[in-house]
Amino acid sequence: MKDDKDKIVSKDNKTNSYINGRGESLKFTEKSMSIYSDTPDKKHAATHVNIDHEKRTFTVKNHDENKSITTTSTGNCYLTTACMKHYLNEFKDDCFELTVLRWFRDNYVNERDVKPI
Amino acid sequence: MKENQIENNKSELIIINRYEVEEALAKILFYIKVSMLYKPYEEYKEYFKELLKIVDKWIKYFVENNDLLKMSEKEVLKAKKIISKIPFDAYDGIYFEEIVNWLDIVIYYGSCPIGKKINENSIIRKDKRYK
Repeated sequence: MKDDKDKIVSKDNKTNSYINGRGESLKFTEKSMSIYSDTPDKKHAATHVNIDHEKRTFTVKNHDENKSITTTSTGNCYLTTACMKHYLNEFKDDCFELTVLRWFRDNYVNERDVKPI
Repeated sequence: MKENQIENNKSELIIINRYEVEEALAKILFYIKVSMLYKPYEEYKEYFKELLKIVDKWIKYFVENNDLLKMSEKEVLKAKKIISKIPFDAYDGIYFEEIVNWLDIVIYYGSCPIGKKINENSIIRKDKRYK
C-alpha cells in the first residue's frame, strides 16, 4: 500500500518543485525527473531519472549530500537497478531512492503510458 | 503531474531582499562560467555561452533597477529552451544540476518585486507558459 508521505503536499514556487510528505522535492523537465532530499537550494542528495520512451529504457544518476559519490545505472527495471547497485548489502526497503522511485513509477511513469515494470 | 490539483500552501506575506537575489545571480553566474571551463562539458560549451549572454542581461537589469522585473518572458523561455537542449548525461558532472536549479530560482526573483511585502501566492512565474 502506498504511503501517504509519498503524496505531493505543496508546490515550492521559488525552486519550481513539488514537495512530498517527507519533505523531499521533485522537479520535472522535458527529459527527466529529479528528486532531492531537501529543496534544491539547500544541501541535498539527489536522484535524476531519465526515461527513453522509444527504447523503454531508463537512466538513473544519484549523488550524495556532499556530491562525493555519484552513480549511474541503466536498464529496464529502474527500481531494482537504482537501489541494489548503489546499496549492495546495505540495501534498505525504505531507502530514499526507492521511496521516491516508487512514487515516480506510480504517479508519473504510469501517467505517461510507459509500460509499468 | 496534475499541476492545478497541487495547491501552493505558502500564503504568508514575504519580503525578498537584495541579498537573496545577489546570491542567486552570483551562483548561476559561477556555475555557468565553471561549466564553460569544465572539460567533461566541452561539447555543451556553446549552450553555456548562450545562457551566459541572457544571465548577463539579467545582472544588468538588477544593477540598473534594483530588481529583475525587466526580465522578459522571451528571455526566460529562451534560457529554459537552452537548458532543455543539453543532454541528460550532463548530470554526470556536478554543475549542470546547479544551473538548472539556480535558473529556476533567478526566474522566480525575476517574477516579483524586491524589498516589498508580497503574498507568495500572488507570484506568477515568468516561465509559467514554458512546456
